[in-house]
Amino acid sequence: MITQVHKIRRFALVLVLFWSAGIAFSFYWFYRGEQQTVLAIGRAEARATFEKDTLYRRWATRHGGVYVPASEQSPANPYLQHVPERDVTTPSGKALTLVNPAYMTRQVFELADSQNNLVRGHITSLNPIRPENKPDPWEAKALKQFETGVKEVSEVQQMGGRPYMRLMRPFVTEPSCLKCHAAQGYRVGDIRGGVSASVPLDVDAAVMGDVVTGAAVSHGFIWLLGVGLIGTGARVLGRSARAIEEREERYRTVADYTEGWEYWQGPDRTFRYVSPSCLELSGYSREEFYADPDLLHRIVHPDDQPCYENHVRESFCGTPKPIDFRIIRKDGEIRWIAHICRLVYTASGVENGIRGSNRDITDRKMASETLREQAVLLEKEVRERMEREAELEAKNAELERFTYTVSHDLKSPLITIKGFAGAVLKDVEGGNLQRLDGDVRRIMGAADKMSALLSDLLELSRIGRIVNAPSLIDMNLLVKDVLAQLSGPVQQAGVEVVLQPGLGTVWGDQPRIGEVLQNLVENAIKYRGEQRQPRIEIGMRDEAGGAVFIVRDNGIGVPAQYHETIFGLFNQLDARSEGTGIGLALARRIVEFHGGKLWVESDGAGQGSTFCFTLNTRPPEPLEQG
Amino acid sequence: MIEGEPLCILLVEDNPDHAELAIRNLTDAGLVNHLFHVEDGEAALDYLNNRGRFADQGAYPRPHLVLLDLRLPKVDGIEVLKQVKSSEQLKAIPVVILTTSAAERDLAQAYNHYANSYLTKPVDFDSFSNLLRDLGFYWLAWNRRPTS
Repeated sequence: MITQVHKIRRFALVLVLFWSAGIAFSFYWFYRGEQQTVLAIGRAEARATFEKDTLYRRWATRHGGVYVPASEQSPANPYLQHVPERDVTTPSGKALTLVNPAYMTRQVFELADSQNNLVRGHITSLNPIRPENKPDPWEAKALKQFETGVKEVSEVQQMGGRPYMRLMRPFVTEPSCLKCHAAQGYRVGDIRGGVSASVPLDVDAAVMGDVVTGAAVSHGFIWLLGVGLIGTGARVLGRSARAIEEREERYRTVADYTEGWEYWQGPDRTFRYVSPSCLELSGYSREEFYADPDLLHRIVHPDDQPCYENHVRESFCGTPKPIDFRIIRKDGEIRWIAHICRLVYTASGVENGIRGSNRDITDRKMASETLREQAVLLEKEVRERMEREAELEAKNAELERFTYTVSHDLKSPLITIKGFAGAVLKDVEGGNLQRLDGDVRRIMGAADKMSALLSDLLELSRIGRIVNAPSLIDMNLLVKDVLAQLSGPVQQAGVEVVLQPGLGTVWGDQPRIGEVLQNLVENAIKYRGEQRQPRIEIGMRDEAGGAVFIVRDNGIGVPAQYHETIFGLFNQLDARSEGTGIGLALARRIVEFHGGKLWVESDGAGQGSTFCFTLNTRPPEPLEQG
Repeated sequence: MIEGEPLCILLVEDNPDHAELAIRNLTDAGLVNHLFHVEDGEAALDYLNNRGRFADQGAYPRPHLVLLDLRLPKVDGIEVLKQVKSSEQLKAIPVVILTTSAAERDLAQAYNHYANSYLTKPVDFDSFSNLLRDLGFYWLAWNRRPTS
């Protein structure tokens, strides 16, 4: 950007031209003035000479001429032969001759001619008596002009290589003139000739020359001074302009070549500066932002508008925080922008708008988004693996418990059988038959228990292996089926059963879900305790996690500390109760196998129990076979 | 009868058949004056602390020996053992575990909770009888106790 310097140079040149023209004009004006003065002086001199000559002539004319001693220089005038007493002799014998005014004047003029630098006069006429008095061409021309009424003619003429101011006035015929000229037919008042005066101008011109030289020197000096001032001024201006341009280039380079989109927004929210990189980021050019201060606001993504507006409000209050927002580019593409800004101040400390920086962080956002997705996936995988591990651990623990339980519970009836068989043998040997009957019954009971245990264990081991295809089960129908099968025990125990209608449908293995219901209803009958009016409610309640099916009784209840124990394998709270202690363990396994939960709610002994379970209401994923 | 005082055993056994077998064998050996049988852990702790229906200390005296099964309804045998051995008043009472389980875990757990002895119920009738007789002799006849 050297245009500023160029401009200054061009302007200086024009100034010099004008200055020179002014000085030249001034000098010319002065020179002309001087010339006019010289001419005016010459003319005045000529006029003065003319007047003087006229005065002397008139004096001579009034006296009818003068007598002078006749000599070679002043011979008797041949043109005055007709005049009486042309030549007289003084009493002493001195010869005198009459000299007429014209003759006198001519002689005076001839005297002047013999000396340099004197004003020359010449008396002339278009019709002179004496031929020597005939006019030269300039005089002839002037005399002709007088006949038309011109009173004075003056002109500069070169004569003998010198400039002369020539002035000529007409010569009017007076009565005294007729003494000589009457013979020519002159009348008083006629213009019969003229007298010219020639003033040599070169003397005045020489004086003028000095003045003009002085003026030229002073003009030249002033011109030089002016040109020097203009030149110096131009150089100083050029230097500071170059400094400004260099500084501007520095700031422009810094501002214009930023990667981010930088801008300065004035207090009136118009853009004072927008870096060209805005085009790359937003698709809009800086000119568009200059023309439309609202453009930036408009291209912010609608979802980010409130956040952005809030930020702008805070920014102009002086508490801006960095934000990320999306913009919609001119071509419709969405970009993520990291924005940061601050208030700016003038040198005198007045708030002067906002300096903002926008950076494209779309790639970073996408990368972090991908990273986040991967982290979520990984987390899910870890969680699944942990779940599988926990599941596996639970299965291992269950297997261990199962083995332990089996070894304990299957051994238990064996001890009974062998123990009482030994006692029976001993009693028989000793002839003591009193206890025989009871002991054999104990043996049979233990054998029955063992048989029941074995079949239950078989049942338990089947869960998860033999799977009927899941089907949509109408819970009301299923409950009615189960109740029909249990109608005998129900009637025997005198239990009132209430079934809530509209239990809905679930997906699952129908016979297994039936077993769960059967187990829970059987338990409710079995543990009705001393209740006079045993009652079982079968229903459903809606909870956040979905439908919860409930089997509620008003029996013996379960104290809080046994809420989990009762679901353990072969765990029975009452040692004397029937069954193997496998029912609830079995039910829970079935429900869990269906992805549900089974638990008990009870306020304690004598308060009744509510067994709750959840099941899938949607078709399950295909189940693992085997 | 080495000492003149009446000997008292608390049998904690949920299986009524096993309890009958134990009682019969111990009684036949003529070693026991008083044998109290409870069917679950809760009852055992109630007896030892003279709580609830066992509040009468005269009718339900402090036993000289506890025979404890491990798998019990309500309160587990190990839990009973833990409570007995952590009680200042009860920890001196010898507790003999008498159970069907021969599992290493049960054994370790029992000894970790200061069981005085661990016995597995033999399946064979004669062995069962001998075990209970020897047990009675050992703890009630040969074994010496501090005078209360």
